[in-house]
Amino acid sequence: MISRNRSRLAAASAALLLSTSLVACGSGDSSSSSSPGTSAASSTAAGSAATSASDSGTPAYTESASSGSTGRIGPVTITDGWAKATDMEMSAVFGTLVNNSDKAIHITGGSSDVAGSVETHEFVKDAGGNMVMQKAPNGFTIEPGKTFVLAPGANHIMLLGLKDKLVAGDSLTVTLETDLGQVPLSVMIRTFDGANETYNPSHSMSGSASMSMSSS
Amino acid sequence: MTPAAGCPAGRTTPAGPGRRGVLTTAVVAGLGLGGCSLTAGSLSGTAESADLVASGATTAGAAPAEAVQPFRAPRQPGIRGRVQPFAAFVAFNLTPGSSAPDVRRILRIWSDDIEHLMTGRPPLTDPEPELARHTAGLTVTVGVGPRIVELVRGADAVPAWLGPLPAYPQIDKIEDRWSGGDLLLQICADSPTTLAHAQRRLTLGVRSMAETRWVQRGFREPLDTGEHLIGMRNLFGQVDGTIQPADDEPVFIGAGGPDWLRDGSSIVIRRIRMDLDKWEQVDRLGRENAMGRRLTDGAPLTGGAENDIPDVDAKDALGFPVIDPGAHVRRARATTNTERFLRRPYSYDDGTGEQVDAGLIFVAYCADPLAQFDPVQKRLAAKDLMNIWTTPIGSAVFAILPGPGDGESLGQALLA
Repeated sequence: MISRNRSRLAAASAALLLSTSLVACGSGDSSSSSSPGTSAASSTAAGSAATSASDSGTPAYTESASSGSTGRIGPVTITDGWAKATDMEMSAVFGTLVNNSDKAIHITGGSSDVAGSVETHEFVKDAGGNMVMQKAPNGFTIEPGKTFVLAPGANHIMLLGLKDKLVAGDSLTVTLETDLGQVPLSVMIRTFDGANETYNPSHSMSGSASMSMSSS
Repeated sequence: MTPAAGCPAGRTTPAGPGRRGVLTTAVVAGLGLGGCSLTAGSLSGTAESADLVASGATTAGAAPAEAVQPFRAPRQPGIRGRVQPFAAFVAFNLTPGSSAPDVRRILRIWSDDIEHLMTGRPPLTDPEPELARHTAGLTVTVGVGPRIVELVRGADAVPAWLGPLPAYPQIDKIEDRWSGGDLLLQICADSPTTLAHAQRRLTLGVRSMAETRWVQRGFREPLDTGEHLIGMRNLFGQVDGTIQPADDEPVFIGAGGPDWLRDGSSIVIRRIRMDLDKWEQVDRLGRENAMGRRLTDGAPLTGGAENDIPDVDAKDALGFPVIDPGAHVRRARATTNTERFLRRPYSYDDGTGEQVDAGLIFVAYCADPLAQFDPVQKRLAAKDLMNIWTTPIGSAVFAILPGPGDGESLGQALLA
């Protein structure tokens, strides 16, 4: 199901791939933070950036990287947004979502040209007391005028079934499905050593998540 | 020695509020102080040098507790302006197989992270965000080596000066481990913690595309003598690095340079080992004779004050020159108005106190190192008493990119 060449990965043992770290349901607290509207550089067009909004519909709003510097501010913007660089099948988007509207916004899912599917994920304690990530059954809700932090080891937007490697310094666009329409967000891809916790599909409520654990 | 160690500093204008403001005097105006190596490039006896003044802001003054330097400006920070007491110069090699798009990625990542760090916000992936809150006057200045320019714009676009300096065989003992590189970060701050954090974030941020080639850490601080501030003393005890070009023409690249470097500059980084043990054996008379200036205040041996012109023709009662024919001040005097550059040196000390591994990280900014720096260095290599105690062991030249505008990354013009 993964179209790109994975010969290197194929050489690795399946056991390894199954038991370790594919990505982004990570740990640690981190980087989110800071005031909206202050970043700038990340909004510039990157060379081979994998950008573009989902083609599944007309975006309700446009949004530019983490700067929120575009003329029209959509209902949801992201500050200091980023995605973890990887050559595996999964990654995640982190940052601080900002609800610029005066009503609660419900994020139910999303899509991206670079991924087979996009899910809202949360971290919860399982029956054994271990923190595991799983698909957030009710999505994310951002109260009016409030922010919603996406961070390794906490809530995040999961990218599953990546179609190509995510290269640090490029950008990608993920389009959120919200009750106010589609909201494309552009984030820079960055190298990061965290967000490596095992994603054990058996804990996941999402049947689709397990697909990415195989190496093609 | 290099136009580096040991020149009496000019007086500087205290930058901080509340400092005595008396030194703004055009102390130096018009004076061919000529000088010590540090002033070497910046002073000459020509009329054109009349615009040279001690650029106080470059050396002295206390930092505001949470100084924030602007990142988005036509020129990068860390060149003009107050010199912070701690610095790291970090050179990188592009990893094998890297291409022009990787250059764009690196500069994009650095731009975003530098802007965050300089404004006290954690970079995107910062696992220690608390360390980013204390800006401590942080500046990060980005340079590129010839390979970057060649990758992006072709070999023909590489300026003649962007590459290894000519050899100075009389003095050089250049080691690869302190020389060359594809990319440079000059990171300066008032806090070594802030500096260390910035260095780690910026290095890790691009590690898939660039690997560290060398790191040189340095320190310096302005000294208040009670009468005026001096920029720094080097580890030989000499007042160092004060008189600077007042005008920007020698420092920044203008219409005479490539368009993609307009408002950029060049940086020459020379690691100068200083033999503290051998210097230990020299009495004060010998030390002052080698420099041509007094140790106490940097004044020329021919008298006057620190910024007065050395009278290189003066003879003593026996008919010998007061300023030795090989004195650094005599040899380093700029002979043309072109031989001017901005110096921003730091000391280093990686020794034990007994085992000596110390010296000066000589740093010069100018529009064209071959035209402005090389003639002075050649003269000093040929003859300079300070060469007895100093040895260049590292050398690198980078092009300093223009600063980024709003919505831009560093290297916008380079990559255009």
